[in-house]
Amino acid sequence: MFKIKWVYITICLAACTIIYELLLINTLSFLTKNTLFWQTFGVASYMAGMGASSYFSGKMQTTLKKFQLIELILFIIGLSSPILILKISQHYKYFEFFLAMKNTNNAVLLLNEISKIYYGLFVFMIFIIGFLTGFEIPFIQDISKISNSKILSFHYLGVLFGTFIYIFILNPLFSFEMIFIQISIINFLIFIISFNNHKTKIGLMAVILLFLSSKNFINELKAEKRFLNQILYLIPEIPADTNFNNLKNEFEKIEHKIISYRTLYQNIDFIDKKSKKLYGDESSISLYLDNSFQFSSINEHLYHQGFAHIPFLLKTNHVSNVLVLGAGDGLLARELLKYNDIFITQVELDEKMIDLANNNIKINELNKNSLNDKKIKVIIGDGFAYAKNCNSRYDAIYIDFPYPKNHDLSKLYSKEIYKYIFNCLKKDGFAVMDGPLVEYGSRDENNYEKLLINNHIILNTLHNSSFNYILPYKIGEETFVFLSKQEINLNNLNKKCENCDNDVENEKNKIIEQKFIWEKNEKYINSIFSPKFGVFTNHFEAI
Amino acid sequence: MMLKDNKFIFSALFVAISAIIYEFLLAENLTLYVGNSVIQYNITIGLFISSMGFGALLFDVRKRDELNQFFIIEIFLGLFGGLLSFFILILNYLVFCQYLPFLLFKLFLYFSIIIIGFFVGFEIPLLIKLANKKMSYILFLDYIGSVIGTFIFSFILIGNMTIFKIGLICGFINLLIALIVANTILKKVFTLCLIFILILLMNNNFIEYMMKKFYV
Repeated sequence: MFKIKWVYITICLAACTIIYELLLINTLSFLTKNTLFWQTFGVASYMAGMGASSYFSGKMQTTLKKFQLIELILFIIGLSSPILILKISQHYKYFEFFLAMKNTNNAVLLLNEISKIYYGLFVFMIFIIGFLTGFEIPFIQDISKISNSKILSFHYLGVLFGTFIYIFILNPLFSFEMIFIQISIINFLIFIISFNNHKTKIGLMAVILLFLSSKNFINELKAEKRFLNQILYLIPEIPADTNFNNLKNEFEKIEHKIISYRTLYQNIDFIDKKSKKLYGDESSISLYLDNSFQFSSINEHLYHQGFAHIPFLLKTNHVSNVLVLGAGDGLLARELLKYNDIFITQVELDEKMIDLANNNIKINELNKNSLNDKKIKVIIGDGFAYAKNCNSRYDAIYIDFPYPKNHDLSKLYSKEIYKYIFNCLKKDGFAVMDGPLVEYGSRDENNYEKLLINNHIILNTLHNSSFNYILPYKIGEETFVFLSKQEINLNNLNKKCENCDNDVENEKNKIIEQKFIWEKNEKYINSIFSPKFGVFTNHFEAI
Repeated sequence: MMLKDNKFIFSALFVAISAIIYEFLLAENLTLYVGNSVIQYNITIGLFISSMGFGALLFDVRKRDELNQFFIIEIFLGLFGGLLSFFILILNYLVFCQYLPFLLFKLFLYFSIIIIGFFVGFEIPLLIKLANKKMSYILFLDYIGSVIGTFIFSFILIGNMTIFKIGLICGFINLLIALIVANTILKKVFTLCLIFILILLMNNNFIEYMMKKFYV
């Protein structure tokens, strides 16, 4: 009986420790937009922690008191991690916004320092978790008298078990702060169970108290998460000299609603607000995918008209069969439907996005119910796979993928997908993509040097594809690339854009003077077998 | 004696470096063919750590042929790990041609993580016996190797070369270690031949050809 308890405890502890590690890695990947760093260095620091502890555990005896101390520390780590993560992220985003606006070298340096602390702290935390784990095993061996190899087997079974429980059950069902609390409660339970005497009864009462007060704690965490979202999405609306402590008050003054959806593929944030500062008391909605800006109802027409109609000025063929990859919000489709004799096949990965486009009243109003038009067919699927296996040839292909922040998205900007898209087009067809380029006119702005790498990667990849005629252009703040199999006549830009508003027409007239600087070099070509986005040679910053 | 010890200490470090890079390579391959990098990296981490552990456990202290066992494992890791990205590319092609069900392909990928992890884990007690050092020292080298491997993979390898080349480089490291520990002329010659073949495959033209022919 005594022995079995320790087997279960071993499995539990191993599962808990790997779940903490995966939680930290995933949450930080998401918040810092740096998947590769956390997935690789997370493992490395965890293993370094285990290595360090195996070195020390040879030299000291782990007593019951030390074991209980370890469990208590893990419990505290579990509770404090979500708070720390949320609070540091709040401060970081606050500083990032205000200091970036001041545009001084000091500001950028300070932001880098905070960034280092952020990264350093959590790498250290993962190390500590690995370190503490290493001490648990020799103790359990001593106290349970089960052989070394058997305990280790159960430990590794626990690691396997924990990985799969986390990936297939916990992560899909619960938010990260909930999982931290669940695991820390398990550590606390083990702390209690390790007592052999009447203290257990007191311990059990402590557990019940803990359970009852956890609801408050969870609400507290939810409030912190809400505050982080407010900082991410409402901060442009408040006065520029607002102190961090006054943020909450300022946010209260703005009428807003932030609804978050978590799908298999991404986090969707829908913001409905009344902007006083920027647009004079106007109600607007905006959408963010994985904390990246997608559109705002205030100026989305500029972006979508520039995307949809400029190519129609430049094209040489008759367009009736169009493929749209991505753009599940239906706004691009709304623009394309303005043309007669057009049929659109739209391929979107995330079903929830289509659902919002059709059933969210405000979004549906904005996209004029475009996805339900009889001239459109919506397919739920992966754009990359569709382009690879397309069985018809299109007159035009519109590529509206999210900006490439990590590996999954890097393949959507690869030379392979451009090859497939070329093959999906008729011989006089064209394609247009929405890409993170930076135009020479914005060279005095903050991030220009850093963002120039995107120019190198995208333009080298495109010039390496079969498309012979490539024209990058900028409308407002957004950059697009027109890809043609036929020669491009820039004089066509002088024609009036029939379906564009006046401001888009004005922007269109600036295209002829735009310049995009890039360095021609094979090393920048993005391939699915050699990703250039989401790796350290190009850590892509959110715009 | 000193020289012999150094051989195995050097091996422990480099084995760990190439092992963790194999793990990341498999995670990259999984992301590429199966999708969703976060989930695939998580699965890889869990499978790798646990199979390393099981590998270490299954080491049989009583068997005597340690040097030979180590040599064979290094050859296996060098070939299997080094050429893995190519195997996976070809298997994916077979899936496309419908000769192979996708599920089996996925299972093969996950199984590869387990196999590599298992043999890497198995090597640890083997090295402890061969190097005649304390367990904590070898484990320490193992973990240092993991950290170094992570740096090399993230900062140097992944942004600059294809996954095929990265695999070949790690395969080369494993084969080099096999060469160093080989104690007969026959083994040395055999290993040299394999190294030569691997270096030939590192040709960019060959890699381009494979990508064009098999990635449809």
